[in-house]
Amino acid sequence: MVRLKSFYLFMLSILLQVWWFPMASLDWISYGLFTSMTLGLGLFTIAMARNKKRQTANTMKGSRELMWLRLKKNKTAMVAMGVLIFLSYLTVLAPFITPQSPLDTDWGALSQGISSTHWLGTDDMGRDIFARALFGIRVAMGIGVTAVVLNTLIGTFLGLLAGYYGGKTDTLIMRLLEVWNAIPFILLAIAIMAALGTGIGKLILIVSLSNLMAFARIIRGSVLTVKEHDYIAAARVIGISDTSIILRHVLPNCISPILVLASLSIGETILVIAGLSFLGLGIQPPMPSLGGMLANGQQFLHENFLMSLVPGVTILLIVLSFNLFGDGVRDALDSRLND
Amino acid sequence: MTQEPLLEIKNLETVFFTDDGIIKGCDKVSLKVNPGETLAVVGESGSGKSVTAMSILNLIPDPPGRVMGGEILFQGQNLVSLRQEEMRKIRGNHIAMIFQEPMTSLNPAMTVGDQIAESVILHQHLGKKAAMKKAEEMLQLVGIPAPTQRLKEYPHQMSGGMRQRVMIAIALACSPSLLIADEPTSALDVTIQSQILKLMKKLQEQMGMAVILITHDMGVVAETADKVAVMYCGSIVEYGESHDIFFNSKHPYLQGLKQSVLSIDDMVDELPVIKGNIPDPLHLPQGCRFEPRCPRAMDICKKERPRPVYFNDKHHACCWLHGGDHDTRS
Amino acid sequence: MLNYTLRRLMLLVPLLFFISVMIFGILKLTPGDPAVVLLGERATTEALELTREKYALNKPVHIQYVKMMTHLFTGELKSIYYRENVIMVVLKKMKPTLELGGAAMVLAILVSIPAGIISAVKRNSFFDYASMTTALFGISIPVFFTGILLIYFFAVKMRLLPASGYGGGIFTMDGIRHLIMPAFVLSFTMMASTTRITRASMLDVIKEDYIRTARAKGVREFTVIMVHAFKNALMPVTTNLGNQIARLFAGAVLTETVFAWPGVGRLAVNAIFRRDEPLVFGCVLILSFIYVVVNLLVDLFYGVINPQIRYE
Repeated sequence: MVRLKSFYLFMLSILLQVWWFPMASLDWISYGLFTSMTLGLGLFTIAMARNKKRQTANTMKGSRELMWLRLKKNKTAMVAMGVLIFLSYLTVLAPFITPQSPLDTDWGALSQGISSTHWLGTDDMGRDIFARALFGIRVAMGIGVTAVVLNTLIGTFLGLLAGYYGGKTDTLIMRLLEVWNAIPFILLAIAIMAALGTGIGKLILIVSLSNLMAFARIIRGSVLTVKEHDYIAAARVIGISDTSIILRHVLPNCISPILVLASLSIGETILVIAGLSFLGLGIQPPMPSLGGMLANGQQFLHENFLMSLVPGVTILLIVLSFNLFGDGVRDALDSRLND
Repeated sequence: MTQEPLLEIKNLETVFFTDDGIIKGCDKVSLKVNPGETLAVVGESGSGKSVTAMSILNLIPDPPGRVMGGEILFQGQNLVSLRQEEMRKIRGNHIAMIFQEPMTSLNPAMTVGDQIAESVILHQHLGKKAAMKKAEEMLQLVGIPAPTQRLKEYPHQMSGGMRQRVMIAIALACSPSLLIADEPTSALDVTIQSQILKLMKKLQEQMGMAVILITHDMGVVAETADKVAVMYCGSIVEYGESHDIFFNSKHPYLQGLKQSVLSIDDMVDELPVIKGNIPDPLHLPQGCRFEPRCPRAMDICKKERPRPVYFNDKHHACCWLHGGDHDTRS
Repeated sequence: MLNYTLRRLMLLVPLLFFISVMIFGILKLTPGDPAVVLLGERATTEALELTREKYALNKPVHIQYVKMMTHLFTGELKSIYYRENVIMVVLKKMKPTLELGGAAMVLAILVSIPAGIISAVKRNSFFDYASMTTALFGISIPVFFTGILLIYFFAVKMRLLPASGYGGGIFTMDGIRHLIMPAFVLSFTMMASTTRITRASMLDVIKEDYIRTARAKGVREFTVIMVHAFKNALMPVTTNLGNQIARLFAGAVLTETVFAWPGVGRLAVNAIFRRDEPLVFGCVLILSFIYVVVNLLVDLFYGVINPQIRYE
């Protein structure tokens, strides 16, 4: 259990990054985040090591441990996870790694190439590209993960309601979602942005409503199967409340598909956020965002290719790692693939 | 009686290369089938019955499996050494196969007629029209009512028994000289089971083909088989004519197998079963593979694998119980 | 099949209705005076009053909705920026978008389905690894980054292709030269995920019992794969096509922006920046309608290839 808790702590500390926007003066938050992340990761490693000892003695394993074992066997997924952890550390430690601020303009060094002061050069306004990319990763991962978590929570909630109560609730929720799903997400985003304007909060809101159908459908399906089991009826007969049945008996049985879907959709969500930022509808300047950097870079393609290359490769690396990790989680949880 | 056998398998070895190790699906299996006769291959699941059958048609999925040794002589031709293209001309044409799962063995995206006609077009070089006519005749032959309409239907529109009839129609469409039926009735209702068995028996007599019937059901064996091969852990432990197998069985495994399917009028309190499970194929016992479960195991059973002991021309068993009494002829 | 088609077609009407209601509802969330929103900030008081009257802005919401829709279709709803009827503005930009989207979709399907089949059949071969790695990059790389890379190498460095803009129709040489890069960029993501899905479903299908039956019949391996297996593997691929097309829309907006392609996607994004609310409404609504119709066609195709639906 320690292992899981420390993992959650670690994830939470990554999540927290989103609330710390790139203001280099707030170094102490960075320090706090670093401490909690290291603590979480350390506990996690210790628990894993301890777990390994136990394994030899006990051959009966829970499904979650089995999944973890399978995931550990998958080398690509482990490397991807390593890259993600490394990137999270990098972003948290950003102010300590480079003395350059992502916002300060160096008018003496406009659009420069690689140098010892500006490791990856500067952009058209003399801002350090490396520093901007680091803070861009922080924002992308922070908002991406937050949006997926919210998306998962909302989707799961709707799916649970629809599946558990059935009847009119089910019809209403699923029909609404069908209409929602019948409009391509980008168009919904454009409509919402046109009505409400842009901003981080709205961005998270929009993206967290993007993939509801997929979650709700899968959860509803699992709930319908779980509901058939006798123990649910038994729980109801002895007067356990609906909420309690859902939380204690139904939800734990749907964890696998939720995990798979969530981990597979992080990559795509980050791409969507980067895309909206590229269009100028996502994260707004001056806050550094990888998508925004690319949009800026395209204008100076002739003069300074680094301005496009650095943020582009960075997004690719993040999304690739999340996708590889997501594939690993799917393979580990989907027993169908393991026969 | 020295008859030229239709199919003769000699020392067949089929091996599976898995992540955890090497599994011998068939370990030196030898058997003979004469034209027109029925050989039943009996054994628990995992005993290598299906692997033997699939090896004959070279249908073992590779990877992980492969035929590593032995010969499969069909009408004098060694199937193991045939090239894929030559093998293809034998499959469905001279040797046909019926599978266990009628629900999943038919292609859901093709009409029943097309599926029957396909092998006719392929092997008999008939035109589409003639092949469909042949398909209709085949449906009639396997007792499907209104064949003209059924021809255009899809598998999901049919019941399990009906689908197995279609499978038989597909298999017999080119009048093969050998039919391999891999548990053709185990997935069906009891009443349908006997219908299908009767149908197969009738068609076998009509067309004069030989049948290899793979089953774990001793009742089915008693009804249909001329000869019986009993398999355990990839090898044949007893082989003989049906009469010998039922009334003069030698191997403790077969004896146990027979006891476990006593008919209801025997009225026993407790159905005798063979204790334990099939051993892990990755860690087979060193000696006789049945030794850990055998009620009459001896010391030698642990150390050495028994060789076949012949009781008459055709009847033999691999067991140390009979090792001293009879001379081996091989 | 007829039944299925009719049912689908009948569902189209309420679906389109609810979509328009939903989009209308979202745009109603705009804070501030809707009359000002519709006319732009420089409108005179009289004009505002007239607009309120015309769009029934002082009436209940459902009447506003009806008015808005009738105005949209009668052409009375005008774009603030272009000062022209919204539908006309959108239709003028439709041709480039359809060319881009169509070319990308055809390209994606032509490449991904054979690639997926070969990967599945030759599993763990060099081709499989190569195409799976490419596909993984394809789903991980942002559309606009692919676009910028291509522009950098083929337009800025090698000067082979024009960096941006529309060349004038798919049937002109110049049009094709301009279309190559955007169409490839847009199709890359769809190509990648369709290859992955095709491979996965082929691998699933190849394990099925009926493939063994086909082999036991002596069917040629090529026929086993292309007829017996592919016919069944096509169903999950088709089911997923709807999702792919939704992504294609998002990709199209980005591609049009990167390549300055004069299409509806860019029109919609620019409309946001120009605070051209009527045009946003028109763009989003018309694109959604197109999406729904394309999805309907996909559904109907699914019905054609799936006998369980055809013979319901």
